[in-house]
Amino acid sequence: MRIPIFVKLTLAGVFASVLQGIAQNQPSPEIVTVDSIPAYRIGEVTVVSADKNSANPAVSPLQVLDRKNLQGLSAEQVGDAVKYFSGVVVKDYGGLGGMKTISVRSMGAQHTAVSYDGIVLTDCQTGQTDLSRFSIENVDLISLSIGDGNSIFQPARAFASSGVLTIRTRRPVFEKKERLNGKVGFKYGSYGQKELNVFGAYKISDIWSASLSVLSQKAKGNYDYRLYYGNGKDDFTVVPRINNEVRNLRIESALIGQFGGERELEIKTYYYDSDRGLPGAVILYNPSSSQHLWDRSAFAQAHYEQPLGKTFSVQLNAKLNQTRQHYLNPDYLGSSGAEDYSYRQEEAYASAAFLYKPLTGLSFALATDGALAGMSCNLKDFSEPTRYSLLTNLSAKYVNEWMLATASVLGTGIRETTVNGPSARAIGRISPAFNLSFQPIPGCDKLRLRGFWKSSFREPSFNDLYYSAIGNTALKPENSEQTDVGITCALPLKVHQLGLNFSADAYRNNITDKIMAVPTRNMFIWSMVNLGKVEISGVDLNLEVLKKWGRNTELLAAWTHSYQRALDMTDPTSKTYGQQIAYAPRIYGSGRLQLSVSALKLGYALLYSGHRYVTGQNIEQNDLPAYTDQSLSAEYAIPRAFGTVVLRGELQNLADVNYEIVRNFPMPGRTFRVSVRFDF
Amino acid sequence: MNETIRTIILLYLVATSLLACDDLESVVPVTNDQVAGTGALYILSDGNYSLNNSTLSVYDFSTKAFTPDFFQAKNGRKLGDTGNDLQRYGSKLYVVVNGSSQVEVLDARTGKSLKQIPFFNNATARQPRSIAFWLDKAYVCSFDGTLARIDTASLEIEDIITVGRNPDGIAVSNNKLYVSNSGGLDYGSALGYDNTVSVISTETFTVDKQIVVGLNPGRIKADNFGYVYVSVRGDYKTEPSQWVCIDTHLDAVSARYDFAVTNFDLSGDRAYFYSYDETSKQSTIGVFNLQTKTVETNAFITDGTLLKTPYGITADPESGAIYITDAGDYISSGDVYCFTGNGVLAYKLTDVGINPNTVLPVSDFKPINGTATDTTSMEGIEHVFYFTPAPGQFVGVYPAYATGESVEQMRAKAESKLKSGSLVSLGRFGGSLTFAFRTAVNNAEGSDFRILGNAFSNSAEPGIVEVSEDVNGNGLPDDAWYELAGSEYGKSTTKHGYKITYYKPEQKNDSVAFIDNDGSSGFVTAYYPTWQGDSVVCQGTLLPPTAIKNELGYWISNSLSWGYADNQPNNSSLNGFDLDWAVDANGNKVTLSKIHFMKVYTAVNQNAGWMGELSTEIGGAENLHP
Repeated sequence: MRIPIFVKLTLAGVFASVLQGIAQNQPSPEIVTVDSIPAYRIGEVTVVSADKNSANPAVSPLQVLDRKNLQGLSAEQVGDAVKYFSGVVVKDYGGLGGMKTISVRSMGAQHTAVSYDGIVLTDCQTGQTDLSRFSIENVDLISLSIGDGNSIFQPARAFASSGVLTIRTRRPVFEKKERLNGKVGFKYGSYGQKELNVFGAYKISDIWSASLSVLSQKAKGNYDYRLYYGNGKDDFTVVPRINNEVRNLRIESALIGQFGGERELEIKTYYYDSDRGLPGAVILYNPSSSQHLWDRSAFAQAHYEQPLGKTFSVQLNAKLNQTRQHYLNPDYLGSSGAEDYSYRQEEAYASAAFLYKPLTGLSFALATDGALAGMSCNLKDFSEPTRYSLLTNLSAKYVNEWMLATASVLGTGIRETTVNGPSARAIGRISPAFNLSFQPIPGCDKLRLRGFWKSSFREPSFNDLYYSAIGNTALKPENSEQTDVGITCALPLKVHQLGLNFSADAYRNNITDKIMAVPTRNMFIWSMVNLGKVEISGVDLNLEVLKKWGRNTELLAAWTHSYQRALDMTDPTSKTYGQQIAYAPRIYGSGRLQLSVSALKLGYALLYSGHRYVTGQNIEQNDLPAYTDQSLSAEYAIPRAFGTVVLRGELQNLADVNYEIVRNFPMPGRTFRVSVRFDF
Repeated sequence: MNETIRTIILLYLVATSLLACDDLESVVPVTNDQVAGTGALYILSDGNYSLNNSTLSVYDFSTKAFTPDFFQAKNGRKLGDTGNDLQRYGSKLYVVVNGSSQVEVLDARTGKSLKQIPFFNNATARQPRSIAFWLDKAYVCSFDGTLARIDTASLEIEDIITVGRNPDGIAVSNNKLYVSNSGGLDYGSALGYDNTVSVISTETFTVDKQIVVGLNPGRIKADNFGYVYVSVRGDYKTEPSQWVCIDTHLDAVSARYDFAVTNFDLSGDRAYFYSYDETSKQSTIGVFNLQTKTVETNAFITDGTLLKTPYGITADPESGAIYITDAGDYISSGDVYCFTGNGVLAYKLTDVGINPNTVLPVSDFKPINGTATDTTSMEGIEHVFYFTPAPGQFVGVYPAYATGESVEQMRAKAESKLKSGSLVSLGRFGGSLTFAFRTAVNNAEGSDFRILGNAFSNSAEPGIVEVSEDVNGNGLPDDAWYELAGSEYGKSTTKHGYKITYYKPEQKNDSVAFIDNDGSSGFVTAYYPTWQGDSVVCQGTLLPPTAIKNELGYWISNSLSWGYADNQPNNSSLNGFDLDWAVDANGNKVTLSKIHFMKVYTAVNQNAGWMGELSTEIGGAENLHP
């Protein structure tokens, strides 16, 4: 068949496009080495060529930051790196220990799924993922797909959210005759940051390989910031951020078996242990801060896939996950003298997916996922819920040289039981989606149009349902309906060794039955209700330009820009009606430059955001000003006898401004980091 | 590398120019009703939890202006987080700021901060909630279970005792303090809410008794009949809400009422409360008679005005008005409704602040522009004896003159204007104002009094001040006058004994004829003070013309160094007058220990082109050494 050969031939093109940041990403890749550079082969049969020579065929906006792009940023955590995607606003509480959650196109953090090495992470307690838990150190690729992507051969959970953020960690990859490789690195940075990281990959046999990584970090986080006590330019004092220390440890391992003929087994384990001070919001004239948080989580997941004959493939996934969290507030004025809460969540998950390819260009996929999740904690009279979820997704896909179309329908059933008190109402939903991408000019592959429509929802979290007096077990899911039209184009200018890729998408999202907290009789009695309605419309732009000089020098420039109107349409009599929702800027974007000259790599990155309001009422007093954040990075690789020594320096927030993303949580000022790494 | 640098600059320029096309604009709140009255309304708003946006706002009835963050405008710093209680005692205002754990003490008339009292137990915030007063002490209860006693003169915390759990409110009656212990922070634990009111003797400052009232007691207030009422909120599950009456002679519960009172205020013989009805899911505002102890009405509002979320309620005994605040959705800014005693809406102030909790009318509100030298005991103009302006462009305007009005009527108008902080124009050279404070001005160190005008650094219209002591003690300014010699007194350009006479024109808008004793005569374009008769005679010291045209063609009038009215800006230290400057008619120094009367007159005689004539304007005065 023509297509697989075409796929193999464009591997180099695929990798080049990965360099550009707009590429195809599949959840079940096979590693192939080409010129000793790792590349991902597409497991599913589809047209790939998303290199700089033709327009990206993705049916919905897909953005990628690979290892090379991440090198050019001075980002410590995944939460920092995702700020460089269009359509993404990260709610960042500042510093290494500060929580970071992602909201795509203002739909809210609970509408974006985070997938770690192929399997979606879940937190039933809050419904969202804290991206500060994931370090950049061993991440090979981060990608964001808004809506469904081109791939239909995925677990059902991948279709259950409005968007998916995929994190792919470093896989064991070996050159000819190599059996062991890895790295040892040490990093030192401002405000007492010290980090040690070790990665090792061992080739056990032709079939089996394993890897182990250990990352240990600690920081004091006691950066100075300007505490403004008045609205005047000079009305501030400089004080240090206190109670902001963080210590964490991450240990990950992987075991991979490649049996040939597209049969593969991958087993991963992950352990995360963190201990951090919670500095809290800056309160005028009251500097006391003593709250503390301990997190410990571990999971093990397995992925297996194999073809069954010529027309079928099967994929099995399983995961076991446990998270513990301990929160302490020793200055609590209740008679116990402290708020001391321990939470525990557990989940067991399994998924089976089948792919059926009856004809050229036509394929069907059926996936079923089952999950069992429970939570316990030491709060008085806590419900102790257990959630049973069953998801089934049926997708169809048609692809040829000039078009790609997919249609999916996801069925979700959720049931809950509790030990104490009432349990949530059962949920049964059907969520369809349609996606299309095509070349409008026959024969010209430099331009493509695309569009998608997707209906999805997010179920209420355990906090929404069961938290003390606020929880409301009668809550319904929150709905999201997305419509998107876009254009992608590629302009290669071979004579100048210049490549350009551009995409623009206009979208409209409607959120209904939005889960919000509303007060009842008085300030102390609030309740979660399905009340809100948000209408979001916007435009996301992405541009990448790659210029080469000779063999050793290249410059990559990338720019993203987003415009969004996210308006509260809940209650015409309220003071927030028709106004921009809280913490949503009207415009924001990023810029990146990466210059490689032989062994030296320099990077410059810029983030900018327009002003926004801290509540839904868009008045002067609620305004949070616009900000920019610039950073620089430099890396130099020195090859030695049996390895490479890599020296790296990073400088973040060049302008040294303590801007705020969340009010009263000032960001650190100018921060530097230097690291030495030995790659063997 | 050049390309790289150029691209960096390009990226940054693109970003900053894109930020400039941000079309997200602030919504401008609705402008409020123009309500007239005396004094001002202070409004304290909680703000949002941990957003440091608690505000103390002021609606000024004389200027009809609303200042949303008056505290910051006055004191150069923000109030902090969650201001819960605002009360006045004597000449001071006390604001209890719960989140920032401070008590702010302000001068009631000006809003200027006198002291910020921190409430910390080593590094832990006490979180003060409410304040009450008895004799010369203030008592503040805090969420950490303590009651503090503050001396109102020194503004220091003298003593702290432990009361019940998480005290919410405090009232004073019958020489005792009553603190409601809510226990609110234990709602999730096995212990649950507290259910007591602590009774503390003001003499011994010890807890004498605990009265059991019911779960989760909150707002507590004392009436004038020896009873204390407390709103008992229950546990929101099985235990109901009640309104409990305590007899302070027995220190025991004397009655329980089955209303779920969320908030209330007492004034005279009435209690105004709002309660939440579970079945109708509505809040109703009711009136309870404190003498007969019966509910007079459950529908206080009689004109159909609807409130979304009643939050604060204040009954003003002076005016009889009932102020109810509406917190809306508890996140957006709220409104204040002012009702008459009959439940009819008098006016509404919108977007006053987030979660407005207290409205405090201050009828003697008198803001000073700029820094006050002594804010605790300030005296303004008490009486105007004579108001005799010379012709000028604002004569008959500030204050306004209606045909036929008499000298006495115009004098009264000028006096009223000056007492409410408005401007009075004296017209051109010689126009004068004679006034007095309530008490004498004593000659002490430095400036003894000051006069406010509308001068800025390049717009001065200097007036000379004369002073007089009431030697014959008859309360009338018929004693000897002495000029306070300013910086220009001895210069050769200053002319002493200048006299000019202005003549009333035939028609109202005709030019005014004048003759002076320098040999000049002619006409000036100005309004003549018709009520002064056919001519106005002005004499005094003449200063050289101060206005000049600068290189851009603008007329500017630079300030003289010191010693003149309407010369230096009001917030300058150079607009004070020192009785040591007094001289007699021959320029000899005169020693005065105190004076009673002051006279100000315009001391320049000049037209500044299109600006018109220079004329001294007076906005008020202050006795710095009463």
